[in-house]
Amino acid sequence: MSVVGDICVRNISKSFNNNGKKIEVLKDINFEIHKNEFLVLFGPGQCGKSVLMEIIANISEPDSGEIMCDGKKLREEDLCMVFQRYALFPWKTCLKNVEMPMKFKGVSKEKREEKAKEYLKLVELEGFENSYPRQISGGMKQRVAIARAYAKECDILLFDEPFGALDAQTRYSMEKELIKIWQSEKKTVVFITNNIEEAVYLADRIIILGGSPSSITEEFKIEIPRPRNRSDQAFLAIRKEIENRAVHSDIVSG
Amino acid sequence: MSEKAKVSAVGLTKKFDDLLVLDNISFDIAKGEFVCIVGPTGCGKTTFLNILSKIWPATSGELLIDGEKADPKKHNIAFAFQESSAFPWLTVEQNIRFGMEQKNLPKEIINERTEQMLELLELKEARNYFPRQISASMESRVVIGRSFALHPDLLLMDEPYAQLDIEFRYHLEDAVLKLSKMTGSTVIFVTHNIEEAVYLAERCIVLTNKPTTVKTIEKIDLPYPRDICSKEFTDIRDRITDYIKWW
Repeated sequence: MSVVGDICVRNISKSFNNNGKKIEVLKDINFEIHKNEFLVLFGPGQCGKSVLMEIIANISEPDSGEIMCDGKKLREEDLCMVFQRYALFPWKTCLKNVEMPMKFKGVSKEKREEKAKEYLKLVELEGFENSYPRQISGGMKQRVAIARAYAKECDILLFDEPFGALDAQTRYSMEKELIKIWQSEKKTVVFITNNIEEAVYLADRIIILGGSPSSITEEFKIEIPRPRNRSDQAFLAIRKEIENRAVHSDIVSG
Repeated sequence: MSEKAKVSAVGLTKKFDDLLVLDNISFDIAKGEFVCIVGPTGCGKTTFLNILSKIWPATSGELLIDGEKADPKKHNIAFAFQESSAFPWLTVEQNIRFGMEQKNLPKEIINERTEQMLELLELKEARNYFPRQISASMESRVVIGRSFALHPDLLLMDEPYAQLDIEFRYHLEDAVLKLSKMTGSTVIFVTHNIEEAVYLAERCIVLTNKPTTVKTIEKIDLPYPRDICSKEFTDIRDRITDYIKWW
């Protein structure tokens, strides 16, 4: 397994062509992602967060700029992505879904079954190995997707608003579990959200995107010890500060 | 049932065959009161709303409005669902007029209230757009406007803006409070989000896990607009969270 260090995002710009009209989405984005850090990208809808994520994931090419890690480009096997809409294979059981990335890597049948069971246990889905995605709840589906991402055993996990479709309480439970999993097996995480409370609960550091075209407008380091309490005064103070900047500047423009 | 209750639930019970989902739920709500209902995920809130809206019959128990059996033919019961339910073939303005036209309200009243809703919910410029041409948050506002325009006896709201951006949440929460005062409607607002419940409600009905019953009713005596960071606020939020926390 490769060991990936800090990641440098350098001068990323991206525009799209809409009926001959050029629309600039990202402009000159620069930041670092530290090894084993939980980094949250926060921004309003349509600010280009997902576009940036796709560029980091190498799904989409930037117009200019580059993403480097130890002087090299990131490779497909270095990272894994978790989407809002789970993206599970509906015709495969939970266990088979989690086995999938290992199957692609050529891991033996016994070995990958053993590993997949371990990862399902990590996300507390023991006993659901043979259930199909349609038979379990949204929160459980997302846990299968997280187990599958872990099963790829890559160094970098990218989350694109994974809990956006869940109700507030299921979200709290998933956030708690995600931190627990991340603390037990540290990886570099980049997590997109448009929920400030979620950002403050999860992040080591929050990077705020805003403007049109989007650029980085603010950065917050969150130093509250974990597990964090959402109604703690220090927590609320940071949340409010981010809200004030986001709502009362043009960052949240809808 | 107390004398001045606008809406009363009396022993509402729902069974699906042998499965008891709602167990003997009773409460009174005063005219114009804003009540939030919270409970753990999967506690049967949707079943509860479907009974209150008279979409489903209760197995036993009654819902009373002004002391009479609630009857959609007689009483105005409006419902703003979680999923956007603006009619896709009607414009924003036509959507808001729709409910009032169904109730055969006089034309002047329909005109007046439509303008008021468009103004309050900042939909004036979008009045001639169809739902597919506007954002999700605007569509939620259309549904909220359509519901309040009826000045309903009872308005049921099922997390009508669970998926919105922060800015719109604040905006809509304040707009909903304002509309409920202005129209004098009695509102039952169901949410998973305890902070939202404490921000909005005059009283908060806390439900238990299935079979669902009323665990407690919390009175929230804080002035509006409420400060979510204040100690009084977080104390109430923590107390309600403790009743239902499962995560």
